[in-house]
Amino acid sequence: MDTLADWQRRFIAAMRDPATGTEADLGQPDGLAVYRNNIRQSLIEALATAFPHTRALLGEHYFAAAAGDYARGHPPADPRLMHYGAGFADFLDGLPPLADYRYVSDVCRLERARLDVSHAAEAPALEASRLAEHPDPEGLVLAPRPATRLVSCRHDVANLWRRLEDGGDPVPPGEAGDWPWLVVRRHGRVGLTPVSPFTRRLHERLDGTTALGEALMIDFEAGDDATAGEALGTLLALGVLGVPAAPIEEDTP
Amino acid sequence: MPLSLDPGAVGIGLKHRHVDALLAEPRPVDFLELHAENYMGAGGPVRERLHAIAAAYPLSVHGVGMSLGGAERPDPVHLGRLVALVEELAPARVSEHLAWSRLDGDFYNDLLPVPLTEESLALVARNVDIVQQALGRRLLIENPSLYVRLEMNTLDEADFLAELVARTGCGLLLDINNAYISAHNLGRDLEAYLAALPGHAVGEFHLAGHSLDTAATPPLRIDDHGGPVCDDVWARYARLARQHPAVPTLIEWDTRVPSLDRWVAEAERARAHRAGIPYPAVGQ
Repeated sequence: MDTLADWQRRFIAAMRDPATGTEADLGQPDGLAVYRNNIRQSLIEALATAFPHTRALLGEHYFAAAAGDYARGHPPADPRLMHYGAGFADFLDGLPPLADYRYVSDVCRLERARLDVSHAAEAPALEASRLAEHPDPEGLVLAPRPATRLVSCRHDVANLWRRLEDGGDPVPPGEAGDWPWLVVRRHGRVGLTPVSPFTRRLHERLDGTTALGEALMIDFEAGDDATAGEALGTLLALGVLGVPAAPIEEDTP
Repeated sequence: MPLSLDPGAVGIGLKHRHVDALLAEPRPVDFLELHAENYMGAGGPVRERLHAIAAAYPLSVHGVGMSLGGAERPDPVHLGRLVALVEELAPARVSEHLAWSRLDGDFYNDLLPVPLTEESLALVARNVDIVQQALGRRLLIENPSLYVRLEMNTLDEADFLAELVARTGCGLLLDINNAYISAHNLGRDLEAYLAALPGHAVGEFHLAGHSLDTAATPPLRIDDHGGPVCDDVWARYARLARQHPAVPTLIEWDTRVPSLDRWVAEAERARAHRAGIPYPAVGQ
């Protein structure tokens, strides 16, 4: 007779593949099917709750099939289902029938970021006025607040996203390219804003290890349409940056 | 200041969509029960609204992911989250399930059946003890809805739960709907089961609706929490609630979630049943 752990492994094998659930000591096939369906269906519903716009774009049936396949190969590691589906956009990228619809995974990534941001820890945003008052702003080491995410979209989905948010019929995506978005929760509300690639590069440099003055020394690239100062202004206006660990007041003489 | 439960309190589950109405006066129910894992985010509006709810209602924290019925010890990270939530909310009740859901690092989002053996009893008792030690308080353990009869069982479920209570000092969350479902699906004698449970340990009743899967052979009752409580369950509840008048009652409704008014009407039915007052059935 095997141990409880061994029996549990055989039970899970039967959950993953009905053909393996034939040992009598696992229980009756119809009953096992209830557990199997509960596990699968609850994860499909968790994904449908997390990704309503993705579901709208794919249609209910295709979404359920894709979500079921994802659930089978990617059981959650965490009972907090609010965090389930971190890899769902990458999974959709790998589905051959969606090869011509990659903007769907852009929308999926925006939805995931919105959910992550809505559950992230609270932390005050650095105000532009407080930064301006600091005696050595370029020496400050800044980092994004926990309730922010940067999402790199591969299509211009701004109009599409707006339509989905408004409950309207989806519109085709705009041109392919490099379309970064910042997703930020501030005062209890989550905002999603397309930003310039240049702003994205400054955001990536402000990672809590680099002084602001050094981070602002970004090489311009072809197509850049903003200055470092403007990009910093965007990050401050959106509330992306946190107050430095050492409070600004303490640095003030 | 944590709010305490009055004897015989009747509550419903907490859903995001009902929060505004629940915060309005007068309070429609005596307490609210929340699924612990839904409130284990680091921050954000959901948790802010939870604090408003906690200031207005006594709470019951009902965990669904601790996997007490498995061979593995409770995940220390997840246990830490539960301890933090319980310390934050100071709920009137904390409960979990006689079930498992985690194995080898993966989580299976259901309440899977526990073989009722001496080995399982020792492991579940160890796991309950770990959680109670971490929480510094008594945990209520809920009886499961079962869909398979395990031939390896060497103990009756009621005896298993009674021994778990004796070994750990835990209490029981008696889900009468679960007991009814399991009795039907496993061919178990419901009355004998209820009579064999240690009634002194019951710290909360759960009631819920279920559905019937007629495609299964024989048909199975499915614990979907998707409708009103059935008459057979009300009948058992009326008797048990009068035997244990101080025990609070929680009406679950987790799928096809109704309006708050409809859910509160089901809670009022519970009050009427425990008082022995006829109460007409309410439509969906």
